[in-house]
Amino acid sequence: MGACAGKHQHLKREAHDKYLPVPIKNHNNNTNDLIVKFRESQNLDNKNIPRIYRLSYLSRDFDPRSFDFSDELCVHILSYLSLEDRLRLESVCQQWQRLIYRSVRTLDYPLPSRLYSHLDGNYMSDKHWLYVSRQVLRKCHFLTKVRLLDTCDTDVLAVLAKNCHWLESIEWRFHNLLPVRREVLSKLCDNCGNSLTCIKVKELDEQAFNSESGLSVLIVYSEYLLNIRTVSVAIDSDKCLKYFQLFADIYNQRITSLEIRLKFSTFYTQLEDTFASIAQFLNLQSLTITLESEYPLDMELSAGASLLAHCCPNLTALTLELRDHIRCTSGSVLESLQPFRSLTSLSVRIRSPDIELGS
Amino acid sequence: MNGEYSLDTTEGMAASGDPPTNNAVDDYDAEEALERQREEENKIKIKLKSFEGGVYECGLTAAKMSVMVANMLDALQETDLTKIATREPIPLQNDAVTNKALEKIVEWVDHHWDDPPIDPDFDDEKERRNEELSHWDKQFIDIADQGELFDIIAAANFMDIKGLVEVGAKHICNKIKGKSCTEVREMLKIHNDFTPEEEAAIHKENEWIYAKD
Repeated sequence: MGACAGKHQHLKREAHDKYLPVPIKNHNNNTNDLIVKFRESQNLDNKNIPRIYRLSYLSRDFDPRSFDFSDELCVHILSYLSLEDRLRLESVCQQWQRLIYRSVRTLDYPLPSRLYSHLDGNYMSDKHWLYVSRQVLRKCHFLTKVRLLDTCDTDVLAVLAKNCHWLESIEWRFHNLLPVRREVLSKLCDNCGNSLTCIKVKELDEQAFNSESGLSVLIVYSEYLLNIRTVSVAIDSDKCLKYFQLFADIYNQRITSLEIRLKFSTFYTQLEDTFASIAQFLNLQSLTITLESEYPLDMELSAGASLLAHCCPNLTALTLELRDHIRCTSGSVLESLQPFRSLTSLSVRIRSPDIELGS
Repeated sequence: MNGEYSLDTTEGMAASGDPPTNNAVDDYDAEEALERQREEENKIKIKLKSFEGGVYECGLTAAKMSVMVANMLDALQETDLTKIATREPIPLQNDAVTNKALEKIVEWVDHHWDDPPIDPDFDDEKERRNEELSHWDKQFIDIADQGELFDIIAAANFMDIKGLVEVGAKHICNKIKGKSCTEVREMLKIHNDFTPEEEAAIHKENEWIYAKD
């Protein structure tokens, strides 16, 4: 482990000053000085100095046919590699090791399982694969978008909080039974609060709605998450409506794009309440609603639609999806959409056997 | 995206506001006018001078694909574009811009001058990243002399021609796809600057990757 700690030393420094020149070892001394000088010259902000893009021009020790680009260009070239190639080519040279993960901007955790076969033909247990995924996650310090496809544990969030300070978008799944340690969450929200603009809280699987804790995170850490613009949540209204109302109270100025999945099993009035909460988002520009209910909802839909049209003048994109159990006539659905005058994009998807389309 | 509706039902059309008509036509005219102007401008030839002193001629619109050249031309504040053609060649002050490299770059921009500009903030950026190179580009970039290839990429980066840098980068990444570290070092002539201990440490850390080496 001693060697590893030393190896990542430069990455730690990088958090403070990513422009710090990193000298290369092991070449003969003359060239070494030149390269250090070269790296320093590359980092000047003065645009008038012609920048040097290949080390070959600096010294005869370099073969002009060798891959010797400056860091900036090297990162750009390596950014076209696939993740599996990155994993394998990390130890080509020190420059690559330093730069190869720098252009990884989006990552799914755990890594997609198709990588198995590219890396190792042998079977790998899920636990081992999680370990591998975490190793990779640790190396990616410049992520802007991360999707946590499984219930994330405290460790993963701790890694994100420690390394990835440029996160813009997180998608995660909560499990109420697995509480995440508060201090880790607050550290994450603190470090990424300025850059974070998009949080998607997804349910673990299609049937489960577990976003109470997702909403509560958004509510508790609202003072950090000042730049949030896009939120996606699922609401099982029986449990979460209160949370959602609170959430709407806090975030009504910030959010411009909202995606919500609703499931109603008991009272109609809850749809009204939900629409009333949605209508609080004054700056809403795009809205996606997925509805699931066992009761007819014609009246509520049209009432909700007129309320929305009145309260959210900026709303220009609307997607409405009605799932299986819902019962209402498509005519009335379309009628209820009448009040929206300024829409530029509209998409209605109805997945239900009871409805005749195009009536 | 005026005038585009994603609708599964026809009746929803009425509900989604009145479709714009006049604006679209105006936009189309303006676009066409711009297109014509670009075409006209490309008939004006300007001269570019490599670091080694060679002078190459290139259409104006094509030359402007290089953000650096475009900025230099803007700085001249020349209103009469035809005068630019008679000016002294524009010097490109970087070692990478060799005669050979500039010749190839001029060939590339002359072929690609009417490409739509690349917008890095655009949503399709990710898709473009994964796109295969066109046949012409593949033939163009398949250069036997690796030194020349790297010069072209470095020069294109210096001149800020995003499309060409991308072609070069994709070409290199295609070549090293699926190769092992040793093969890549050999192919790209990269000096292994790890001490044996360091390399062993990395291998140990990433044991699961190198299982097949």
